[in-house]
Amino acid sequence: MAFDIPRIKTLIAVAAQAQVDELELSEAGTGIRILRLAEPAWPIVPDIAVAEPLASIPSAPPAMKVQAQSEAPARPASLHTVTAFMAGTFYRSITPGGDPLVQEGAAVEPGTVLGVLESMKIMNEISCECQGVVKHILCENGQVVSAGQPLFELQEG
Amino acid sequence: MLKKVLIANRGEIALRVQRACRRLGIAGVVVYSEADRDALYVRHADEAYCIGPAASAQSYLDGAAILDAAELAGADAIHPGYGFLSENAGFADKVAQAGLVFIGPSAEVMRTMGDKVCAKQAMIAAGVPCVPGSPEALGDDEAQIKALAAEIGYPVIIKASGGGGGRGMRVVESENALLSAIAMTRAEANAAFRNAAVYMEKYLLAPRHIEIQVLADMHGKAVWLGERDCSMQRRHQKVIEESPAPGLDAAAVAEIGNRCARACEQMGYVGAGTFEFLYEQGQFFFIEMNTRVQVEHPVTEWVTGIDIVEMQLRIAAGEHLPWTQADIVRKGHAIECRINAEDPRSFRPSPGLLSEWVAPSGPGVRVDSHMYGGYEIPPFYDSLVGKLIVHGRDREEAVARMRAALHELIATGVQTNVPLHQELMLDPAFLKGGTSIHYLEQWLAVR
Repeated sequence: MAFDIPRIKTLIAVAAQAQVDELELSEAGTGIRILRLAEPAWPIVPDIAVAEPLASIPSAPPAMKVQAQSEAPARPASLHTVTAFMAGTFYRSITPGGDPLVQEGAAVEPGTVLGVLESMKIMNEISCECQGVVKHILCENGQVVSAGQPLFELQEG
Repeated sequence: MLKKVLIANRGEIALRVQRACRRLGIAGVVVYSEADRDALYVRHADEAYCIGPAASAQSYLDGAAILDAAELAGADAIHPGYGFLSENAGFADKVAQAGLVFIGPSAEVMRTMGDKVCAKQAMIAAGVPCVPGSPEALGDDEAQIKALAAEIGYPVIIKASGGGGGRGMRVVESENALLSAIAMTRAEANAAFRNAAVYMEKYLLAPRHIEIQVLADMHGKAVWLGERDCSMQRRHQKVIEESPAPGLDAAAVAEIGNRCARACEQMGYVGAGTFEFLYEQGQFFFIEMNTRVQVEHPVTEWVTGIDIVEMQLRIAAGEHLPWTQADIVRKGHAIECRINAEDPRSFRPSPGLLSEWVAPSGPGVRVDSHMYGGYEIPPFYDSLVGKLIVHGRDREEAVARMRAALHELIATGVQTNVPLHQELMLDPAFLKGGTSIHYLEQWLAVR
């Protein structure tokens, strides 16, 4: 069955309105799970620009994450590349001159912040989507990167 | 008149200042970063200097590099635009030391208005109403602080004296949270602004943002050019601005406008400036003054017929204001939508190749933008790609024109917030007018 995008959008709206934290639905082999306040599927614009630690924090709309679940068994450990989701300046630490968020060899899990991408004066966290180990860091701190440029290579597992 | 003006900015405002210079027969010199080589204002320029790499700190914020370019070009004045060095009193000092004209008020006035406590004291002295609060930075006497908060009435807000743009503040709901909130704000303010001074104000629950545009010459005369309503904001960033502000009592606005103009005369203010107010239940409360041209100046230009940037240049050249307050007449209604390169739902920035750009036009439509099809929007600066401004006989006609103009705007290759504006132009509360500064955030949270 193909995904019915308008229907998924409706479900998200319903879940948001009712403030449901989690909604799981499966039908004819296709499943959908909607999580409120989940780690975003992509790094959303953070509440606080990192360069402006005193920004007042208006509450952000709850991040919604839609996970399409496949019935396939877990994949074996493999290499996973984290790429820049937009053009910007890549930083390895939250504050200028701060400690790098991760080093090569570090164990990471979904939600681990790997780096920061500054674009249009907004700091965007680059978070990890899988569990594994950082194999290679492919860009230098402060490097200007283009959209889609590989930043990290992770060994999944 | 000035002969050669260096424009120390980029993007649409560089283009805007360039236009005003051409209009007056002044040679405009532009500066640009390596990322802005292909920018429209550079292409239009008779004289352009590269002042450094893409990062603002090494280019548009590098005052020394800008002064070098000004010397090389033989400029006699510098227009700082908005943002970057426009409210940097230290830069204004250096411009003056180099024997050039800084197009704006004196560094001394900029310093006073840049410090919130000093600015508030100056306003109180000039009879401009302020938010009830501590007359100066809070001291260490805990009993006195508690008594002050009780007198103002909770909720109160603790603000950093050196802060701004919504940074360095904390809302306190009750007395038991008061002292710790003050201590925290002090620590943060010290870390962020190297100034631990904080002050206290009444926290207004649902105010509107109303601002007064002023122009003052160097001969002690000032006028105000009406108000703007900039209440539609997200994270303290204005999204839609309009003039006049819907539903306000004209006599009350005129009273405030006149006080602002008199305050300018009293403090020796020179140039264009904006007094920002919170407005609640018929009362105005001063929050800060912007000592530069504002992004949203075109709405005022359209209702008054006055070219504010041209006036900045004329004033800097020593000309007298050519009118008295009675000559300032406003006609119709103007609205501006800020067009940003961002996802209209997640607000994630969207830099990149703008493969196609077709700006709307027609009666009552103005577009101030540095975009063109094939332009690569750099990720190094803010996401403003243009300002869509419309004018109508009344608000209803202006809104109708804005809807049509938004429909005409073609921008492909990157995402823009045009869909957000389209929704807001149909929103019943916006159409009614008078929404508070919190309206948009609340609207976004539930839509």
